[in-house]
Amino acid sequence: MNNIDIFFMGIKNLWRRKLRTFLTVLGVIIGASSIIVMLSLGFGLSQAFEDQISQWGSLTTINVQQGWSDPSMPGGAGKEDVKLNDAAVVSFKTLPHVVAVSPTLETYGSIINGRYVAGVPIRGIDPDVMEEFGFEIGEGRLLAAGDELTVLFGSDMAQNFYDPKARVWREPKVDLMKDRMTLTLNPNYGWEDPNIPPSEKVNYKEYKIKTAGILAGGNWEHSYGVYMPITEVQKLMKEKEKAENIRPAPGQSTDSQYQRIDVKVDDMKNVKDVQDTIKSMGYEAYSLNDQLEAMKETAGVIQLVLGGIGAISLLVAAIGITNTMVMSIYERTREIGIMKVIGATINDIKKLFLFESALIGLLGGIIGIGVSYLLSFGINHFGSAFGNMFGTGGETKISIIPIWLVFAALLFSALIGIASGYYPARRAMNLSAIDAIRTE
Amino acid sequence: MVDLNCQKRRCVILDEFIRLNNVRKIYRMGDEKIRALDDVSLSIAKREFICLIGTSGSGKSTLLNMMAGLEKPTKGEIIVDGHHLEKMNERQLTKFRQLNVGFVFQSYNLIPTLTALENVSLVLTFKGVPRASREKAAAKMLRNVGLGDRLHHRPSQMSGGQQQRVSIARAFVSNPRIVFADEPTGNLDTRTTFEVMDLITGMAKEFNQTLVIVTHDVEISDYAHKIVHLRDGNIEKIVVQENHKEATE
Repeated sequence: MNNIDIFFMGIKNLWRRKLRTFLTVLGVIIGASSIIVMLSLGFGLSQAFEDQISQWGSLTTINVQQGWSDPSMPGGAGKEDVKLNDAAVVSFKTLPHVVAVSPTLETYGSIINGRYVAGVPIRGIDPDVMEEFGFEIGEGRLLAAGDELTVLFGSDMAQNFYDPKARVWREPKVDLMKDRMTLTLNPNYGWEDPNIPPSEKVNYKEYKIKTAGILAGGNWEHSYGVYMPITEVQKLMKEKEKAENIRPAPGQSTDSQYQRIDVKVDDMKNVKDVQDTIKSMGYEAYSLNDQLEAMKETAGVIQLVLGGIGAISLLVAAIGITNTMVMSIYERTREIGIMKVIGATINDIKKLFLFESALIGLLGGIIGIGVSYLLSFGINHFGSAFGNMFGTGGETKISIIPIWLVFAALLFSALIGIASGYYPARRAMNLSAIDAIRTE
Repeated sequence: MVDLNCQKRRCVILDEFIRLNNVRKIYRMGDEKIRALDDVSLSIAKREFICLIGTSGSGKSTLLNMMAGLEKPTKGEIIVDGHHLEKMNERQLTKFRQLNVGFVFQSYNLIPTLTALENVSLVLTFKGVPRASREKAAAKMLRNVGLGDRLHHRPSQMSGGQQQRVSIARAFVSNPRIVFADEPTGNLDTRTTFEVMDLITGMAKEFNQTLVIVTHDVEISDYAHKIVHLRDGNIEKIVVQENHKEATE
């Protein structure tokens, strides 16, 4: 028997029992859509976690810090400390999946803008890899390699300026792009201790600075502080040391060392591998991915529970299909017998019944997906209050149906149909033709 | 009269097509055993028209079903064209029926939801014949049995005689090598009985088919080359009719 004939015969048989077919399909619709919607809530939750964490910084950045060895740990005492120097930068760059490496140097200083002052962390970074590290410009431009005494402000820096002489805080009137500003590395600027004798006073240099730009908001890591090319920061720090008359401690190399090296990885899924590699080299490596993993695990468990609830209704629907098909065999016993006697092979009979049940499953799956999209839309549209309960805010969708889930649901519902139809199909196959014909 | 000894000695007949050797069939009804066939040996030649006749319970339908591969013997051999039916599994038997056997039943056994045309072409559907050619063949066969104007009627819209003609068209449409008919006229009046018998025998002759009919109607047996009388599961006697009735055209 041709498949095309089985196809039309199956459809005809289902059409003959419209109401029952409809009710069975309805069961599958409910089952399929409940499982899809439940899973979509889980996807929404895990997306919400991801969005939340990515606000804290880039998920593909690994922060590498000086490794510290614990002498009490076996093998820890003798281990040579690894250094965060240019050699380390080069070695990180050669790791697979690493797209950019930027050493970071941080110091603290004050920026004076007329009568306003702001105490800020000054971060030196490699201007060439700013884009890779997700620096987004809000106003002006990013740093360039040749910039001297040029700063890039964090997105929220304007609010950090204050008037030291004012008695109450007022919104500072500063225009970071146009104002003339000076920078000093004096950590106590504006808070001079009158008890220190003038001879011990340090003469910190004040630098006139130019503004390159202001970063765009949305990333908490880039909202506060100012950025300068790392070579500039190194220069400033040397001059500060000179002013404070500090010499490098004996034994410590004068090599330029960094406080931190940021490593950018090409994809989130490779972060863990790279992080582990760096750790095995003796550094401390930390990424937001660590937190994301933990939160995703939580989301996964919640999703599993939700999906389980949905799966129960699909199971009930599957039993419904089996029931319908068994009933159908009782009714069609005679017909099956006739078909067998006049030349239907048992394969034809099996295929016919499996096709009918698969079609019920598939049909339920298709309509179920439609219903799920409607429900999902409804939840996202009207359920923002519900979303706030989760703490996800209004921006993230509560229910997300990934496209693969649609195809998985189609395949799965057809498979459920086939599995449910298997037992009835076997029954039909094994019906004795002669007994079936005698049935009146 | 033909000598029964020939059957028992298993002598080879020219053009032998169906051969039964010591076939026994026992049914179990709960604890009770019913012996439907005791010890039947029979030989049927190609293009022969055999009539199985006997009272109800004589085992004639059981014998027919076994030759068609619908039932398995408890003991004995059933050889059709060299194939041992008793050794075939269900899968092989359905294939065998598809290729070799046409069936006409007393109760017509048409599928009520299908039209006459669909009922007849269903046989060809199972054989994998494409839609256009199978419907053409089915329509031709229905016209042969005189139902050219009933192609799209359902069984419930037709008389008993018409339904049986559809069933005959169905049995012959795939041009099987053997046609089995189980009391084909049992539900029909006398006039229709002769019409139907003329049709069956005429077509079997036209297509060179072997024909086995079960009946308890002596008038029908007039058409047969050979009449096999059954009683209590055994062959009582076999009558060869040299001057059997021919189908009236």
